[in-house]
Amino acid sequence: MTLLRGRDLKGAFSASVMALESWRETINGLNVFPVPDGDTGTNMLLTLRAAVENVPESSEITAGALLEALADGAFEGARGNSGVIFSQFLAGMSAAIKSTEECHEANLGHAFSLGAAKAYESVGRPVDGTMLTVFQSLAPAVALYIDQGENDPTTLWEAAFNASNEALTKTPDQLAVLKDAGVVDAGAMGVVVILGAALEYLSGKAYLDELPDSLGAGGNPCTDNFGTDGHQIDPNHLIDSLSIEWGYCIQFMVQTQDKQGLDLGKIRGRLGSSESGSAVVAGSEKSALVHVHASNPATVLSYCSSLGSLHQVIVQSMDHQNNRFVTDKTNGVGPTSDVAVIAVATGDGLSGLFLKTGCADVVSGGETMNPSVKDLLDSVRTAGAASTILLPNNSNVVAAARQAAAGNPNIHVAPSRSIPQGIAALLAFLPHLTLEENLSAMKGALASVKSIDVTRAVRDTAIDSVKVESGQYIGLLDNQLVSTANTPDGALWRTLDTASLSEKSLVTVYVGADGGWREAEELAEGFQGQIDGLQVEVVYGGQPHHHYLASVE
Amino acid sequence: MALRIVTDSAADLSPELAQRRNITVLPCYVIMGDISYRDGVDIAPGDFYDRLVSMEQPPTTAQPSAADFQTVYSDILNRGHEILSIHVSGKLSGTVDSAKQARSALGDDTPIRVIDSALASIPMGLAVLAAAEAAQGTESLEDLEATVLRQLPLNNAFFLLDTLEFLEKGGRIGKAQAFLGSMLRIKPILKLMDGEVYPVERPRTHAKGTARLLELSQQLGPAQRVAVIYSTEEEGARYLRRHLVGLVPENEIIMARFGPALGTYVGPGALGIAVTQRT
Repeated sequence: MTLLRGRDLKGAFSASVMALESWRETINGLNVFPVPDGDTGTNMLLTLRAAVENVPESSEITAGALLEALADGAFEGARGNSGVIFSQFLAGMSAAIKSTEECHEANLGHAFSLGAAKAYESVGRPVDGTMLTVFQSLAPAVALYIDQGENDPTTLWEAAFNASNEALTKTPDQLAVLKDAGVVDAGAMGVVVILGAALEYLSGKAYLDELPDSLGAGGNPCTDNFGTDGHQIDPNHLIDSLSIEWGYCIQFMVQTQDKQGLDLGKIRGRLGSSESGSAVVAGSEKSALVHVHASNPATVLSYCSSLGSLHQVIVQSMDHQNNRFVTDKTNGVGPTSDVAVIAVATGDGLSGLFLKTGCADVVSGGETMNPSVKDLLDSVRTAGAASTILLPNNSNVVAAARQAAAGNPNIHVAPSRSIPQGIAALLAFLPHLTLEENLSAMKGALASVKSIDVTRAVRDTAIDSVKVESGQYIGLLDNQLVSTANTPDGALWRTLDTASLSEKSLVTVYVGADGGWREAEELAEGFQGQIDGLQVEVVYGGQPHHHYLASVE
Repeated sequence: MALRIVTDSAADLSPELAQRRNITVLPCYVIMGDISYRDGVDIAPGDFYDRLVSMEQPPTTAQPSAADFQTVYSDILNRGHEILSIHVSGKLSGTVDSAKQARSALGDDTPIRVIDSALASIPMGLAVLAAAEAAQGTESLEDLEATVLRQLPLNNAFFLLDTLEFLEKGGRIGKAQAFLGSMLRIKPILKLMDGEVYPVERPRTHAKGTARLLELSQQLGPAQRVAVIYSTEEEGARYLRRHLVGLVPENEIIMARFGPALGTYVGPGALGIAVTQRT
């Protein structure tokens, strides 16, 4: 065909969505950090899917209108760095095609060129060896073919695809971390898959079978399995119709091999004297199900972990009150009583923590822990404050937060790249300061903490000169992989050892859903004993995948 | 005839200091269990704090009654003096109401003026000390009242608490409510503004808290008078005194202690720095 009409492009990008569905896990597995929530594939899939879903049903649509719909859908649906950058690429393409009926050779090249430019602009510090490099390879390839007299858009698209493929294979040569890890760049691969699938649709030929071997990719996210207890937890336990004003619903199995066994009555007595009613403790001397409501999960978990090992821990916030920190007029003080802070966090523990420490709302990242731009905008709208400050709490969410803030003068971003940074920033927020003073204080606070992340490696790799085997636990300090160990607390211990604790005064450990509570407390005691003047606080985080998060300050 | 200053025990002035300046202090009541104690008279800070941590129910406080005021006022008036009565913030206590009632009962033309300081604890104490000084230089009650009112805003303080628990249970938390609820360990820094408690900052450790307390107080200079106050950690107060630089000479810094009435609300481990600014 000599022209690409709207419906051709629609079909092409729909094919791209389907291809991303098949390639998503492979792309996810290319994350340089061998962490279970490597999510570039998922993010690009969800972003492109949102784009395509935004295209109206009608079969007669101009190319310009089609691309505009894609770009708008991608803008709001963008998740993660890769999703945001790709949404900018589509925005560029759309700007080039705009009011055109069809896409032909002249404007296809222009579209790729403008797309690449917009994507490049959107990144604070553009780096070679990423999807940006792939974008930049497209227009020149198209131009070359046009020079040689080619005017069939499909053939030109093929030229672009081939260029993108070649750029992809070069990414490990451009970025040392890729080479060390033995992978190509995930975002770059996503782009190649998108272009390749579109090409397959337009041409009727196969292109994606010949993609470079996903070097070292594959492997599904590892989630820790606490146990084959065979005990079923009745989900209805969690839906308690008793009116509880506030606090958490906490449920877990506690097991012991001790000869003396569990004293259910005693446990019930201890937990039942909490302020929110009686505790359910049922089972045997060896293994009991505990269900209790309390305002601070830490005290419950701490006590029970001294009795045995804890399994299948579930903590749900029962807090029905909307903790409006500063928009509640009876509480609001000073000039910024109409500023809301919204944080991104996954898991009830962390969400509860952010809410109780002063956020107006917490946005969950969903399965990839990356909320879309729309998710953020919806939360801002619901909070309804005059100004909103976003705390992304993850490097991969900063781009989406900035996209949400772009063009909206009342949305600001304090670019926290980790949960510990987010907490530090939130604590620096003070109701009596002006918006500018608060933003300045919050941004200043980001640098005041070091962030630690302990998780399980999903594949073998070598990074930051540390060799990692799949299944080992790894510790990251400010995004540098510094330790490996055979247990999560071992990795945490080793990571803390590298954090110059003798000069610090406080470590806060956020125990994840898969992290051991007692091990954290033992570690706390150990370090406090070792280092004079150091306090170690253990808090329930409940976050998935990351066994422990910690801040050092 | 002299102008006499009357105040209440919420000013946290030590009995020695008050006596030296001829300041009459009306004790608030601190109720522990079923027994009512006169603050600083029937119970001293040391005993109070020893009992505070082990008590099941926190203590409560009660204002001096109008009758208590009337007795004190009459006594002073009968000796031919006039009275300026300066009291703890009306938003935190009903003491100033009792004072006004007593004054009314004695007759509207009695030479008594009552001032709601909008302060509490040692910043109020410093204001009262300044008033006592000013009282020596004038015979006009009206002028003295005007001077004191003018100088009240020069008195500021920052407080570092170990916990908000006592403030909250005692119903005096005011705008510091905003700092409640987090499960993170925080050592809140508070101040008084508009007669009630306001949140300032949320340092995570005591060490950071004292550093910030010093910085914030330092910014209040230049100073006429400086005081350091503590509830249970005297060493902490001495540390602050040693490290307050550039406001007044170290040996001029007044050491004060939160009496039982204030201790009921600030709890153990509390520290504070108060400054009377120079005009």
